[in-house]
Amino acid sequence: MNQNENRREKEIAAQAVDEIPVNKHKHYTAGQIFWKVLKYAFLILVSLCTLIPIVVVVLGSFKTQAEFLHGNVFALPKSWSFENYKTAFIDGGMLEGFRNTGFILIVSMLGKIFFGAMFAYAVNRFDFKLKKPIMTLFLLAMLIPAIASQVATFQIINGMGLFDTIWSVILLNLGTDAMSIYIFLQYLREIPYSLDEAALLEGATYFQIFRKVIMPLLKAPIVTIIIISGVGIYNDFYNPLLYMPDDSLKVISTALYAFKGPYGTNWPVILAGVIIVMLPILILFLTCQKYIYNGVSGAVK
Amino acid sequence: MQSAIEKFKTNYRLQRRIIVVLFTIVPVALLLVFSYLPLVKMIQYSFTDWDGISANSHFVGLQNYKTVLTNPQYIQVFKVSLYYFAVAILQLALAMLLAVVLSYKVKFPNLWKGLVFFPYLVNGVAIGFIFLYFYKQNGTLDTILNFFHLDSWIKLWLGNRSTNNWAIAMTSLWRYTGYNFLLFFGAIQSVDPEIYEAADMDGANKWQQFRYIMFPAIREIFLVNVILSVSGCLSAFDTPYIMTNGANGTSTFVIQTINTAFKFNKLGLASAMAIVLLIIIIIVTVIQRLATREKD
Amino acid sequence: MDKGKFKAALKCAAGFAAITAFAVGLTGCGKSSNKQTITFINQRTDLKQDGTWDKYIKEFQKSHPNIEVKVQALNDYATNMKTRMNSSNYGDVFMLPDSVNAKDYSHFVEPLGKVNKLEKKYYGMTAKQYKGTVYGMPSMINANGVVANMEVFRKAGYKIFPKTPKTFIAALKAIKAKEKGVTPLYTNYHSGFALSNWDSQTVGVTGNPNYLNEMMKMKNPFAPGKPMNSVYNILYTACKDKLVEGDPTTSDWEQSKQDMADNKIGVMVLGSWALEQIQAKSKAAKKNIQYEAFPMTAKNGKQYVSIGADYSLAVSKHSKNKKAAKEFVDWFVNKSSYARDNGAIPTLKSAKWPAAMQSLKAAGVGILQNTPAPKGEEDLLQRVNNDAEIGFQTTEDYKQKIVDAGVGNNKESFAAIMNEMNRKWNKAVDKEVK
Repeated sequence: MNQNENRREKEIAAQAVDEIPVNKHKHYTAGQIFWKVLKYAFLILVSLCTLIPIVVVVLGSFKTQAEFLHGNVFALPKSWSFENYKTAFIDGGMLEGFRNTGFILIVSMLGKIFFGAMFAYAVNRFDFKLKKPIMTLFLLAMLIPAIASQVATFQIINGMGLFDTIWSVILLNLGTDAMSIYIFLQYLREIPYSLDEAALLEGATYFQIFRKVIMPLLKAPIVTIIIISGVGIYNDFYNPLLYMPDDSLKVISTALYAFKGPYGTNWPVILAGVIIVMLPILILFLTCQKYIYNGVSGAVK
Repeated sequence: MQSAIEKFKTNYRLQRRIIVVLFTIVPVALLLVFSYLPLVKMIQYSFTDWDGISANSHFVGLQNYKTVLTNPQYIQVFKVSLYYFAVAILQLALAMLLAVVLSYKVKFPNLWKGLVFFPYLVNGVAIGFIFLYFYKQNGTLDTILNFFHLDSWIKLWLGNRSTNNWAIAMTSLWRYTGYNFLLFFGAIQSVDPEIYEAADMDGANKWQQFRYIMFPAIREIFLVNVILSVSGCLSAFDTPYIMTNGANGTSTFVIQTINTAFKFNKLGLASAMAIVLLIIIIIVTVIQRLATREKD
Repeated sequence: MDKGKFKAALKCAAGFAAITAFAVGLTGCGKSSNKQTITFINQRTDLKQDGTWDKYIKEFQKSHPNIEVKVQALNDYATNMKTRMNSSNYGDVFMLPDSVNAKDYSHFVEPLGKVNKLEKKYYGMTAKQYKGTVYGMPSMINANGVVANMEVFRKAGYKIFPKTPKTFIAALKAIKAKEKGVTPLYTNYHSGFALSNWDSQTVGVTGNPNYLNEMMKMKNPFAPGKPMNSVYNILYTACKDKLVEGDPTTSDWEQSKQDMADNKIGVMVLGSWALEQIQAKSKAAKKNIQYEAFPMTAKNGKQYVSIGADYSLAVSKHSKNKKAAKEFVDWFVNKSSYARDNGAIPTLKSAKWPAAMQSLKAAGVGILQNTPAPKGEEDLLQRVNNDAEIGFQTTEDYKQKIVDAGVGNNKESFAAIMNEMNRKWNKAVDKEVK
């Protein structure tokens, strides 16, 4: 409560600080202008590079199969019809795909966030005997080329009776991820220990500190993890294909590649599907990205 | 009962113990079962001639390792990793630069960030397809070069052996720069903005701010990314796999491993290849860690 | 603590949940009945997607109302199934992957009958047999020749498709000279599966149905004068003389089908399954696109086309409904229209052949079926091939090397590639043939 007020004061102060440069902006030096131009030129160039290849996807998604194969990839479609989008969504069974992907995504992300944050807290705030070897295990795990151990992994999943269940993919998502732990550790290091101490003095237990002091400060890494590893899970194709082939367990990426057959591939429909699949996560990214700025800094002081 | 809870509340040593065990056991267990158990199994296979499907296999000792290490056909593909390594340095530098530039005041920050990150959202198989169109004869890239009257630069980007590995590595850069960017950007944001304000007042220039404030803040995540990039280069696989399937001199060690396991049905040999790769990666990582530690 | 920020984060998390959760729910619970359910796993994702499998199953259930069939169609079929066959979870009926060794058939699948009895009624009984027992029934039979656009050849002055390597190369050159924008021979380098069709010509060009059984014990089968050397030499020469697509590394299978139907491609080396697909691309294509024998003649001066099994249906050893599964396989090869719908030769010998194959026969081309491997050597070819790692008939790697050498992407000579293949093959033969 007290902190809250403190914070507000600081915000006002910060705004005041912000206003000073605004005045400065009125007289740019030549050097400043040069850097400014360079900065925007650089950003525009990078944006063009990311956008140009994707133009093919957008244009292609509106073409018919024959039109696509006859014309230049940059030719505009004859009509901007959403037929391919309809085909991809309905014939591809994407609704069901979204349901399964959604379930996998939510459970996996919840698991990653809770286990990851707890683990990072224990490792960052306490010393214990096996800490070093355990951290080494996590680093090492990121280096194992997973694709090469596919047969072995399959036997383990099957041995646990998880084959053709949604849990196979969820557990694999949880068991082969070390990046989120590193992201949490990175942020935890920036949270001053004095916060913990203050809470200790007030008689809080370590559990309470984790839940009430640490967790609320980990919003930024949580959003980062949701976006970064969420995209990986969301687009994952090989694991669902191998471990949950049942029709009712179809995910969006396997739904998408139903249009890629051994003897023929309907690229326009796949491209439409790619956009359908991309949209929700792009919206999520755009709405959530601003929380990435609100790192620990805001609430710490 | 009440007092037991009270006791627990003040017994911080006990709490600490419980937390350490309780908070680490699940991730460690998952890691052991799904990352290390397959590894142990793979080591077992690597000493056999198992084809990956048959009911029986024979113990062959170190034969598979001998084959991998003595046959230059298996080792020489590592030179393809150099292309990925060169491009990975560029990728990390670019991601870092973008993260720094976008951390300062800029118009339309969300737009730029969205554009930088968005290639990472595109589904992998679609990327293979998009860039095939990008590099093919009279494709996207050639059209652009023609537009700028740079016709003389045009090559068979994926056909010509002097460009094809660069072309594939650049595709990988296109795809993953946003990922590195987001990690760096997020880490930079974890720094208290007041520190910058203070630095500004002390007259520190932007480079000094970067060198003494930003970089230390993202040091850990940066080092992890460097290590992952190096190991990623050695085990580069997905982009060449979807684009050329390793044809025309673009094969990497992991593509070769997959082919050995699934096209030629030598899972024992393929497991040995994977183990050799892992050992090489570990050695390189240890050297890297030692090198960065000495500098401090 | 900053409540506003926390709320905002919650909101974000809620948004995240909402985007994905709108559809999340538990899938409906299954209904119980006396029906037997079998799972049929195959590689035809296209037929799953367009509802064709559903139609076949409906047809099947007319005569077998008590058997429910669930179809799983998988991308990347061979790799996936190989991994899955390490468990007992590989369906009731499935397409038997080629990576299974003949001597292991009995470990994975049910015997379906004896070769000497079944081969009176069906084609392709030697494809998946071990010691005289059949373990897989071909879903359909393919011919191994080339798909040609005769309109393109006619315009270049060739009314009939060339029969020898020399006239073939001359025809390709004539096409290139006379028809602008036409690719004489399209390699389909990038799609992979297409290039291994060059290997499938072996039996046809020798006219010797026993050739593969000889080849698996033969030293230097790729040396000059040997049939495979001549086959590969055609590919190499066409590439060297720039008679193929400008940039093979970015070739596109979908595009090639359309281009061939549009008279922009002269010829492609493909199994007969491709014919129907290309013909379907346009009305004119139906007439112009024909199936032809590979342009080489056997020693007796005659041309031959070999026919062989496509993927074969097998019944899992671990199936709980083996009887139902076998009934389905039986129905599939005897009653279903699968082979006919794909323009292929039916497995059932008494069934009608597709028109393209009939005209091939009428033109005097001999049709050959491989002789079964001698007892005890059923998996020898497979073993030698795996050991040599040159992917004869199974992968595209070496054929891609030949194309790369031809168009100048690498500096290897044709002779050097053939020598390398010989060396690897010989080493494998030494190891496997006792």
